[in-house]
Amino acid sequence: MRKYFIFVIFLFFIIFLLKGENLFYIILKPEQKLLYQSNRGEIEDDFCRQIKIENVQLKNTQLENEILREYLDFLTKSKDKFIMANVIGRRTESGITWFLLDRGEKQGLRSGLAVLDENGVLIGIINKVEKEVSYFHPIFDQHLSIAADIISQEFLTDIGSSKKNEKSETISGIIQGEYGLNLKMKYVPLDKEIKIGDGVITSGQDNIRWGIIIGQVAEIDKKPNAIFQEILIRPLFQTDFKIVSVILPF
Amino acid sequence: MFFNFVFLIILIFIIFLLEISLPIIPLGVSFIFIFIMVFLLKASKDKDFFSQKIRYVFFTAIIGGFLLDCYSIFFPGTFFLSLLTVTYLSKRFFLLKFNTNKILSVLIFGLVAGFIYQFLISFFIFISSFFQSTIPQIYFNGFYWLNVFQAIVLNGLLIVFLFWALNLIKFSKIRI
Repeated sequence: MRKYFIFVIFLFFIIFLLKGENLFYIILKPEQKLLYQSNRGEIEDDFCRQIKIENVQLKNTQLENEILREYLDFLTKSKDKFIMANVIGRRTESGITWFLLDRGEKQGLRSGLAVLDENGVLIGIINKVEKEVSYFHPIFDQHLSIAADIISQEFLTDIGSSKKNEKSETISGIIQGEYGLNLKMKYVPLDKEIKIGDGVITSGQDNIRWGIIIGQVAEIDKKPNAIFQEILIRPLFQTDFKIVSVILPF
Repeated sequence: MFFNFVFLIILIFIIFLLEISLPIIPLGVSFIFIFIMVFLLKASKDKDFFSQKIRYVFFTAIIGGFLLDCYSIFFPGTFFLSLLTVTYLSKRFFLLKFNTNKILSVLIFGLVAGFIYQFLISFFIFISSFFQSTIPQIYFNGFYWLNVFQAIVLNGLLIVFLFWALNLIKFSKIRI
């Protein structure tokens, strides 16, 4: 029996070394997409099965069209290079959450790239890339830290352009997820004036360009004896994301 | 035997797909782990350690662990070794201590197996994060403990429910 176990463990690592898992990605991708994207909207009870199926198909197409139209609207305004990807799975283990995308190294993805929703709001960062699939950490996961800027409401209109406005006063800090729900901004000096409703955007570090929208300031926690203040951020991304876009490097 | 084998492989693939891609399942629930434990409980009456049914259970753990590792951001072997170890320990030690005819006994077995499984996964992630920078380090805070607790309880309850449901189907068939 011991021989069996040693053989199986040996075989397991050989398969991983030879990248044999890529075969499974190709086989399972369509089924995963079908399953993950199956719960789109409510389906009303109907006596006619055929109409029911057609209705679901139409609803799916309509929803997909709406998402793609919003993407098109956002992508035409932006000068970035994008790749669209379907979310095909989600997993959480030991407090670590990650999502699966159906695009990988073959399509030009690599770790560290930003993942956006249809409105151009940051959802997460790609963590690991395989030949056919890739994985990303959502920004609400506590294991992801991103450098971010708080920008006052008057300058929020500048964030559509990829260049930083010289006039806009920004306050920098580090954003981290909290309990898989909220975002907290840390290391913001106590003397900086921040208002509730101010916008939060990426700061242009960590290989992610400046100006990608993250959220809005929801709460300010100032303690008199502390060096830094903590800011609670309300993320602006769509929670039920099925199709995402990944910004490619120039 | 060949058809049983093929049927088992297809079943493992379906369970794996449901676990990874079904968005409605609560976080922490592992269908593969639940399936292995229920399968082991059903096969536990065999005295021979390496009987045909027990071989199927280990085969499920190997294939299930391999698939889970394929779709994970952790070091290859995290789920594979965790599932194999928990299956071995359950068969070798835990099942001897628990009476599988009582619901409470099955629940405690499920909770103990779930705890060992979660402990092993966390242990492997913790160790591998030192060697590979892309693997996130575990923060042992309230959120982590809540996640682990939720996973153990939900998996334990689902093991009991599935085992009970399978027994119920078996008895109702006899009555008919």
